[in-house]
Amino acid sequence: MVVVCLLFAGCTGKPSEVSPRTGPPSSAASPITSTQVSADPATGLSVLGRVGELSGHATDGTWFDSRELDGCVWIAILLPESGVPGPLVAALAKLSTAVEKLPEQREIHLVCFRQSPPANSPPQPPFSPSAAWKIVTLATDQVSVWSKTALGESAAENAETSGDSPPCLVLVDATGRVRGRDYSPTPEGLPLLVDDLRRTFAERKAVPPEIVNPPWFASRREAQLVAAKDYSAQHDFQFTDRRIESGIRFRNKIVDDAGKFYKAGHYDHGNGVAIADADLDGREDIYFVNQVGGNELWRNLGGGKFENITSASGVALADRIGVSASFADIDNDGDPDLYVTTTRGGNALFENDGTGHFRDISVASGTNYVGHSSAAVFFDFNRDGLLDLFVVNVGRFTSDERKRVTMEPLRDELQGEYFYYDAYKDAFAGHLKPERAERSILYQNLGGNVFRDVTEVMGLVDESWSGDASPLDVNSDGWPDLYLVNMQGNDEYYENVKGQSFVCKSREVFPKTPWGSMGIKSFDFDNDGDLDLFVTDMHSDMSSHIGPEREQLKSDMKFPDSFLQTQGQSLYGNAFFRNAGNGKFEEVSDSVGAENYWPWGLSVGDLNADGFQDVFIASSMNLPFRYGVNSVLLNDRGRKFLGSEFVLGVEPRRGGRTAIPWYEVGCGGADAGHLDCQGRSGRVVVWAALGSRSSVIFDLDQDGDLDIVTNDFNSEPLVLVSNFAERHPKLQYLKVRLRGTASSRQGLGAVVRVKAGKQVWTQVHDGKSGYLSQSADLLYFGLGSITQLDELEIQWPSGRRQTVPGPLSLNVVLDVTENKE
Amino acid sequence: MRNRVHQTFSREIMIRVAGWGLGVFLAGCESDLPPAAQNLPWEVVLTGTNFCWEITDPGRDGKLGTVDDLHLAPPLRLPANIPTRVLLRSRDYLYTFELTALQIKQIAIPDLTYFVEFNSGKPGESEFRGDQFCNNAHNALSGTVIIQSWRDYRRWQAIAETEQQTQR
Repeated sequence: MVVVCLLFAGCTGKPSEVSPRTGPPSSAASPITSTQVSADPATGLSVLGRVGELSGHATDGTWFDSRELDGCVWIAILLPESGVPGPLVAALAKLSTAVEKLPEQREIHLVCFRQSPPANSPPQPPFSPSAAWKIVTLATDQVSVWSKTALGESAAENAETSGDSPPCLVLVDATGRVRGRDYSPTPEGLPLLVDDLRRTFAERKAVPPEIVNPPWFASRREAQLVAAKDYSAQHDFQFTDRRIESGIRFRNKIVDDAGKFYKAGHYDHGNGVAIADADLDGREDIYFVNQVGGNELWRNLGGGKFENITSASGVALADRIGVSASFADIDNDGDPDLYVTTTRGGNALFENDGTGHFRDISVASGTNYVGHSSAAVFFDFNRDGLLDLFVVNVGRFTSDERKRVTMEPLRDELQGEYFYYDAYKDAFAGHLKPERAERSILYQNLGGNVFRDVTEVMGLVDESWSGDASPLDVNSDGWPDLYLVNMQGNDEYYENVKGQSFVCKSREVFPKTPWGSMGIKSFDFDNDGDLDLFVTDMHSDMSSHIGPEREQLKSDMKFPDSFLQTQGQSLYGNAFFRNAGNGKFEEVSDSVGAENYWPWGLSVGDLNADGFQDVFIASSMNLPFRYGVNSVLLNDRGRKFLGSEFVLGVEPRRGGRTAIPWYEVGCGGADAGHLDCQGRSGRVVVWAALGSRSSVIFDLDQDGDLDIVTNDFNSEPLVLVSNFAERHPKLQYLKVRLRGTASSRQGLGAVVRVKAGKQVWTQVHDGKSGYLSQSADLLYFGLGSITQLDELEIQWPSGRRQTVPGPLSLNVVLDVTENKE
Repeated sequence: MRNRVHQTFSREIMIRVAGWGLGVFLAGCESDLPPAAQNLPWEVVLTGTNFCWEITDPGRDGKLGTVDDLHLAPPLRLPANIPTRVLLRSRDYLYTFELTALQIKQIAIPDLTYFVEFNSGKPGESEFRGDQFCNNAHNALSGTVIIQSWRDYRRWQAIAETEQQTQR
């Protein structure tokens, strides 16, 4: 049996002589991992180690997982096996009372661990010092984890030879670091603990200050819940963040230029997330792009569970600063290949062998461009059945100076050294400096996994500061045109002239576009049979402070014209271009309610399966701006969007988090001159708002409804699982998987129409799944309450039209192979 | 220490007296007319450096880029009632400069020069604001604009020039 109660010199009553506030720790409190023990001259609080992951059943019937406490300070104690003496119960009750008086009490968790009793032993007596304490039963191996990580290895060894003795309380900070471990639950020990608890919070510097508990958050939520009472769009379901349960451990990590040495550069645009059935097992896997530390491929095991197969698949690219990911079948062999862009590390093309193992063919394919690449878009511009590639380049926003990433000591998750190119201090003015322009690249797929740069030949020379693009057939001539978003200026539109060239017709077709465009998606908003266009505008929200009360309005643009350079011909917010037919678009963003705060990219899917496409906008900027909610816009039957992130449980985030520790500076040492050290001393932990960058909507658990997965910046993703199918057993949908023959095997570019009576649902299979992302996914049609599908019509990129006659089965995956005619 | 303080104080008084005398002399010279007579704007430079503005005043010759240029910290002083051009530059970051009363805003970017033009108007004080495009408050980028009569401005220039020479 594991000995669970440990002896400490300082845990027997009076203050310990190895108090964590008094300098070097004693041998009994020695460091237990590679984590440095560093006494802090200002706060006196050292870092003594890092608590391992712990989980177990709680007496309140919930499942406890220590990862839930990320961002919270917690106090824990391992109870004696022999029972809980009355004085200890009283002490814990007293501690909870003291904690309740602290202004940060909502952020403090109290946990009692006790060991799972041996089989056939009598049940443990009930124990409840106060409702504030969560009482968790740990398995033996988990007790060992606690002992070795929270208490320290040498302490654990001492305990094994010392037998039972009074347990100590342990103080854990918001990043899981042990900050004190020898507080005795006595009248002498508790004040010390509360004092150190205060010191832990004193280390925090929130930027800006209101991000931890945004004062507007509750009223904003309440207002939406009230408004939703009049929503006609179905909203009686919830999303729940099941990241921890899914097994996904990915965490996005960033360079210092987006954190400790923040600059208004382009590193903070973050990363994409793309899905594809990489191993052809019938389930979509998730590929998360990382800025630092390598990308990760997570295999879908079914039932909402995932496993990390990055190492076996060979797609980590850990030596590079990742940006975007695009899955596409470049060789028409039936499996999704992968293209990944980077910042000056070289873009990479991987060929899939059909089992989820990838081979790097970047150099041989001719697509290994080295620059400031952003999104990559596969489409068949010449309709030859081979997917071509458009690589969007931002512009030269970095100098040649290489710097080492130093952001990670806060969490200790990064092994090894990582380097990045230093961003220019005036990176955001890059569009005013022609010498920093970097043209995007159009690659023609020649077959045999070889591509050729045809940018100039095709007349698609564009040097916009762009992050993404989308193909769409604006003039309905069957040839995919290209809309390119410009993050610092007006967007560009290039008309495809029969696959022979592209002609710029930007202002002719789109007279005014957003000034700071980020994300783009074309879809049929109103089910009128043509494709509308939604473009999000991030940079306009940067020009001045936008309070919660102004989020639905266009930005009150404060940048001077000399900076904007668009002669007043810009929108300062999201654009929604409703397709008016004949190649004409009408900008209706305000009347349909398409505005939101600090958007990045958008993903589209019928979240409530009512036959109208809804929208998820990954939002919020992180450091140094206020928190912004991720936006869910339910489609009110093609009339307008209804803000629904609170209604559907997307907000608040799990645990109510709006901010997390972002980086740390040591003001008594090497960081003394850092801006965050002004007026501060000792250890300063800078907090920043949480924020998502990209997202993908798909049926993660194959239960028939659509779920949402994000890639958040410098934190863990959201894995938002919908319970719509559970709430609506009569849910009706159709999934369509295309197999081109004359067209590309994946059928990218096909327009699919599902018909039931007079109702027609139209979708384009463009793979655009969110900002910086392209996925190889099925098409999902929510069908509302119809009883029969009459017909499915496909307009293939090859020009062929195909009809699949009904009645068609519902709630199935319909495989359609391009016919031979 | 007392001695050093006293010496410094005495030297400062001497500089100010000398500067004032020079200013009175210059102000009395008929040739020392405001540049408005030449129909040229009065030019000063603001250069963003490490979240602060460095001001370059043209000095007594009224021309930038000459040896008598004054390099100063805010406040920004300008002669009254003449066309004025504030040139904006940066040595590092991207900044904005805003004259709130006049609703004029402009950017400062390394390697490029932007400017704002306006008539300086009557003597008085107003504020200018600066920003660094990053949402962090940089208070040193904001400050005061002091508009002075031509005579007062020239006196101030003379004092500032003497101080600058002494510091060299």
